[in-house]
Amino acid sequence: MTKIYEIKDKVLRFCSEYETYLKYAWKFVIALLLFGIINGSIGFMEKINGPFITIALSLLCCMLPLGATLVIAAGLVVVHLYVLAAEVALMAVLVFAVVFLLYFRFSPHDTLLFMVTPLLCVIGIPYVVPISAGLLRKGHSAASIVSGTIVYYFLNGVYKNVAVLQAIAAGEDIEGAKMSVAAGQLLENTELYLMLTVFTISTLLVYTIRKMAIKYAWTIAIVTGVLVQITGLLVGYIWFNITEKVVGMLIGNILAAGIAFGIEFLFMNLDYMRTERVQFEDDDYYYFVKAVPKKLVTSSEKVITEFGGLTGFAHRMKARKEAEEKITRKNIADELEIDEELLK
Amino acid sequence: MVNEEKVKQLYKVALYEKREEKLHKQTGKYYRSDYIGKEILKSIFTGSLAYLFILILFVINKWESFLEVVNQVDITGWIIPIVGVYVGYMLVYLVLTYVIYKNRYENSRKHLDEYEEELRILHNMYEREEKLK
Repeated sequence: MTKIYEIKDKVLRFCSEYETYLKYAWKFVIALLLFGIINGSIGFMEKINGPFITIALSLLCCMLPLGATLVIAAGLVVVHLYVLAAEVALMAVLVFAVVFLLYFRFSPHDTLLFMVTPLLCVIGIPYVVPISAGLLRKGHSAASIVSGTIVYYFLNGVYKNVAVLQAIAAGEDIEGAKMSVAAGQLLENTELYLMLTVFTISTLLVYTIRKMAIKYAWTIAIVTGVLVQITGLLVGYIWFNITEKVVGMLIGNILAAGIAFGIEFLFMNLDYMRTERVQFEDDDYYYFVKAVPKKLVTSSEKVITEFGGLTGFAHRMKARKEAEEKITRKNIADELEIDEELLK
Repeated sequence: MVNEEKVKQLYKVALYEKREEKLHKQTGKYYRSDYIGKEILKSIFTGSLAYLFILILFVINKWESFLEVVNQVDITGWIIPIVGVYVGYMLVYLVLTYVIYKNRYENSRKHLDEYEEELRILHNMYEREEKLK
């Protein structure tokens, strides 16, 4: 266990030491993943679909604020969808407008959550986002998660209906058919509404519990969040007859719990066994303070034990130093033309 | 000679200015009611705009049913539900705005008070130095 704490300490120290470079690196990685997934799934415009443009855009984004990456990603989506059908691109503009109005109004500082939610939806573990947001951010961060989820389901709907949309575009177009298909994927998607409800409740619940002044608040918050997600989604999937997603959801939630416990270990690792309660007063108040110390381990010191006589490293060093000292003293004595003994 | 305590204090103030000044700048300029009122006004605009966009999305999705409904003689039949939903939606939106921005204001004031305290300590240090000269 001590080893794990030492590793944690080293990781944190490494992060703080190379903070400047890491900041650019993770911005680059997030942008690369985001643009890569967009280009890989709905990359209809071949001119901007290649790896060169993706890497160049990601490099640009690592020097810009995260909000700019979000806007560039939205622009990329609209451009790709425009090639598929202008009506679908218009739909995307409307969806982004609604989502940005919601997001910028309530949680403009949670850009990372907004971007990470669709990414994790693609991987299959979006369940980690509400729990992490509840642990590390505030309740209103749910707005960012909602925004990210809406964007994912819209794009996923378009991706799944590419063939239908292209067929409509190729044949005789019924008025508004392409837009209806795109809008229908979003507005008639019961799974989306289920996800939004469960994620919002989970975020608020995790946030409320971890703020409570109770022992193991973070652990209880994580367990509650995971259980709420599993129960809510399970009931929803059975209710809406989407049972094929149950297994994936259960695995995803177990992984989410693991990641959440990792976050707890890194950010709030308290030693409740050493809790101290103190009372004191000043002119205005009487204070009842409960102090819970963090689990900290000082890195083990390296002890060099020497075995053997003059063959040991320390002894060799000592002998060398003495020899150097003698030579130096002799040299100085020679230079000053005095007796060497006088310098002792 | 460099006054170590003063440098530490200057560092604290500079750190606040770098990290949090932008975040709490606005709240320092307004009274609570003015700040929340301003944000509610903004929300009325953004909320209405978002509702309009959502409405357009719904109309696009049910274009044919929409045409049938619109062609009906009884206009109130479809106007009233739209306005009713709008009022309900705006109520929720504005209550959320009120709660979030009230908390944000109170939180910011707390930070500003701490910042003021740091500035006061720094000011006292300068005054003490002046007296010693």
